[in-house]
Amino acid sequence: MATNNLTNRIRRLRFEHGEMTQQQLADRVGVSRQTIIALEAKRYTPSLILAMRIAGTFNMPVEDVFTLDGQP
Amino acid sequence: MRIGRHRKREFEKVALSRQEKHAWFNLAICGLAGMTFLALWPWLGPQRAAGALGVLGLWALGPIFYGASDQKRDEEPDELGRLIQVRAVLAGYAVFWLVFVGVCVGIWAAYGSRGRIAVNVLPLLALGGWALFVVVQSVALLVQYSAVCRHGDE
Repeated sequence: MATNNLTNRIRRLRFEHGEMTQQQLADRVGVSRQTIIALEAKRYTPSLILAMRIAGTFNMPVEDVFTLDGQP
Repeated sequence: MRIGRHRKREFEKVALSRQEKHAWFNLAICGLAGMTFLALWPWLGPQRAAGALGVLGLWALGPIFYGASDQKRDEEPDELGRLIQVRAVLAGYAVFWLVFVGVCVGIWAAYGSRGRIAVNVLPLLALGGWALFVVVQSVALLVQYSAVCRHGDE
């Protein structure tokens, strides 16, 4: 069975949105800064709710923020 | 240039979560109990020095300092924190059961099916199992936090 890794553009999007800090993003989506760090390092796959909150913070659809490796 | 400035601002040590503080507290109490035990051993012998393990009772203060309360509701662990907590508890239980079964089988193998052991072994087994569970859980939690979210922006 093939394994898919979830990649994300959170770090880049933070820079593109007024150099938002990890703590600021964490506060906006209601998680700890450690969770944002883990997400950006691809060491943690977020719940759908958190993924949608993060995408909503950047006013983008979820699939523009998170993508599965090997998928177009 | 701008990213470099941003990185400099954010490349700082990440503050410990309440769970990590609780884990360090548990390990510190365990270390204190162990050192007290070893310090008393030469004077009191191993059996009486084991009274020093009563220091482990200070673990009961952990939930007061780091437990959930109305004032600390905003510090409740998020989804990653809860996942790490669950894994740490599972690790604690797994190691506890392995050691518990090992000790039971070991006693049975050493003394035979008709052997006898002191009743004092039972509370020691319970205390030891509890201590082992707390220590393994604390270490597992700290290791996971360290592995998953080591640094800020790099």
